[in-house]
Amino acid sequence: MDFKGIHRAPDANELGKHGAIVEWSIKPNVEVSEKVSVTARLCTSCHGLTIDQAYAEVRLRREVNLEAGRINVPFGDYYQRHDPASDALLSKPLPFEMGHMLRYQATQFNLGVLPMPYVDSGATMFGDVWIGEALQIWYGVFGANGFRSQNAQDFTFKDQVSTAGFEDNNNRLSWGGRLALARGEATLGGSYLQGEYDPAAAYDYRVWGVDGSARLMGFQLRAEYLARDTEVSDAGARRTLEKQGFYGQIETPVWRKLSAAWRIDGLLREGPSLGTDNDESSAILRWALCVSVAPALEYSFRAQYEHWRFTDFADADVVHVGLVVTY
Amino acid sequence: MSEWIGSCVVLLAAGLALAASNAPPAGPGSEDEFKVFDADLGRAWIDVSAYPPEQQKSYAVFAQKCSKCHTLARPINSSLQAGDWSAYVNRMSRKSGSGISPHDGETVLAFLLFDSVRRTRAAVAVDPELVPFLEVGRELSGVKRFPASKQDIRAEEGPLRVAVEGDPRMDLSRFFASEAGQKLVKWTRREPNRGELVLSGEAAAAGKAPAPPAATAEAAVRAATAEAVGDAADARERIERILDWLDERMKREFRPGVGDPAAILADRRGDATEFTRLFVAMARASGVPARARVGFVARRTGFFFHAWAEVWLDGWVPVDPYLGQLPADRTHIVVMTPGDDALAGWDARAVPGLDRLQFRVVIEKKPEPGGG
Repeated sequence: MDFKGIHRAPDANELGKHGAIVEWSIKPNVEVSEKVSVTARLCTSCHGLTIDQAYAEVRLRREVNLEAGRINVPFGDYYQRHDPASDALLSKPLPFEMGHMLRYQATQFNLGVLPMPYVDSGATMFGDVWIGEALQIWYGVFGANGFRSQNAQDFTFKDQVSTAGFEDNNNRLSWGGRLALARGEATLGGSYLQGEYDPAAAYDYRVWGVDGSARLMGFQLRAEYLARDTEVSDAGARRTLEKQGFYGQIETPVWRKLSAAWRIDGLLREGPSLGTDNDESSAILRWALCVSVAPALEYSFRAQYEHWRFTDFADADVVHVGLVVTY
Repeated sequence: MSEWIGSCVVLLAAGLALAASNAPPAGPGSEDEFKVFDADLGRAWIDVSAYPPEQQKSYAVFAQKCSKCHTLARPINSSLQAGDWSAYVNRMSRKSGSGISPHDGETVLAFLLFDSVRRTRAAVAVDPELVPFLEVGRELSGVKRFPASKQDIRAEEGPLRVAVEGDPRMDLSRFFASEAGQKLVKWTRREPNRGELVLSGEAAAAGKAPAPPAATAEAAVRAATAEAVGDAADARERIERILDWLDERMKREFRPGVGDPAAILADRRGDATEFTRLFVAMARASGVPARARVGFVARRTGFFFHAWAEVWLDGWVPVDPYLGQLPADRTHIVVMTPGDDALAGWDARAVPGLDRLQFRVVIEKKPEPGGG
């Protein structure tokens, strides 16, 4: 559960929403046999109760595995930590942000670069090979319905989830892949994704990213950079909306049951600002500090402070107070 | 702004590259293979200081590998039971950038099996009826229940046949010996994970008697034995008196781990392992050769881990100190252990796959009277 308060907002109505958000999820899994399992994930949050994952996994061999159904698309590093209980901070990195982002309206920043969780109907073929015991090479290719929108003006998360159904809106497959190298406690990865999002399948998007994580002297370091080019219709003209985002994150236990995480992240938008005549670039730079106290293994209390700097709007401060329960 | 972002990315990439260059080698066998900083353990660490050294090393691997994509709280707080971990670790090791090699996976699995049993034992409320069988604190997952009739298989006449099936790569012949009261049949090299155990409950035929046990150095055990045995001259009678003494003086209560006989004697409480260890010491102190056994025993709805003993009475005779059985009933299934003391240095619960054995009692239908 996360309670968010926003301070210093002269135009608060456009800035974002205060208040409490309860995110709850459960992920039942059944091992049908040694090689086959089925998994579903139910969650409830801003968009009500959603079955956001439901897939079967077939493990033919270490090098060849198949995941099909409503899948968590393997893009970047954060996709494995999008569950609030799995990450060290209460908010998502800006490149992956959705409705919690300040200035989230379509005429402002809309979504991040790749809103997460990115769950889609499709299949992933993946596997890994090991070079000795030292180097893991992980690979995955996927095909999915892809992002969707009712028009050709960027896509929205609301169109992606159950309100619009899970069927494809343009009968055009979105596809991509990921390659990750892991050695010891360090991982480097690269991901790519492309598809068309409008009903006529005339406008496409391409997303690519690089990511890395490592543990160094007890500090967990994480960083990602990703960029998206999205073709949009701007008063009938075909234009390109560019978004870039990054985050760097350091997590560390501090003392006994106290731990801390620091993150700096940014988001850059260049191109047409939908519904306005603003055609200039606009950016966000934010830093966040989260401290966590875990009185018991099962739960922790978190407090987080964020400072947002906008190139085109007034700065804002956000405070989160959260309770994370793991069961 | 884009230049600024680029600079940040370059700096972060440089930091990651530095970290990667300092990453410890992942090869097996080195003492420093997985150096764990205190800070690595995070807010969800568990106290493993009382765990065996090997498990403490395994914990270091677990703590590092399993906190990479999520907090360590997730697996630690998981409700998964011992039999579920194998598939789960297998799946997780195949995740993007997991860094969990097959060797790491085995290490992590071994720890999780050990830990889930250890911590469950300490956490669950104990059903008194099951106390004798509790070294895991609950019925083992994966152990099939008896046939629907739920008959008491102990009342069945003649040898008891129990079909056993393990994980596909498990070789049952490594765990179940063909002994006097127990034979492994229908086992083939082609399918070494399947077989049947024929349990007759018979004592081993007389053979060469073991050397008389050396006198125990523990005065407290000698004194207790003398009190228990009294003036009994016959070996069987001495054993019966020791069983009576244990029944009267020891409280049946779940205790984690198993201490030395003097400590058990001082505590006067214990479960099957404590009863067995103290019994063996007292039997030997009375001059009767004795040895501990571990394995499974059938009770109520399934098979459970258990410990009992064997004494030499013109042959090795199974005796269950906790249940007060002489001889022990034929539902006791012995698991082979290295060394003479089954309770020392080897933990059946930590052997991958042993807790996922499937037992099914084979009861042949008797022809109905007058039936054709």
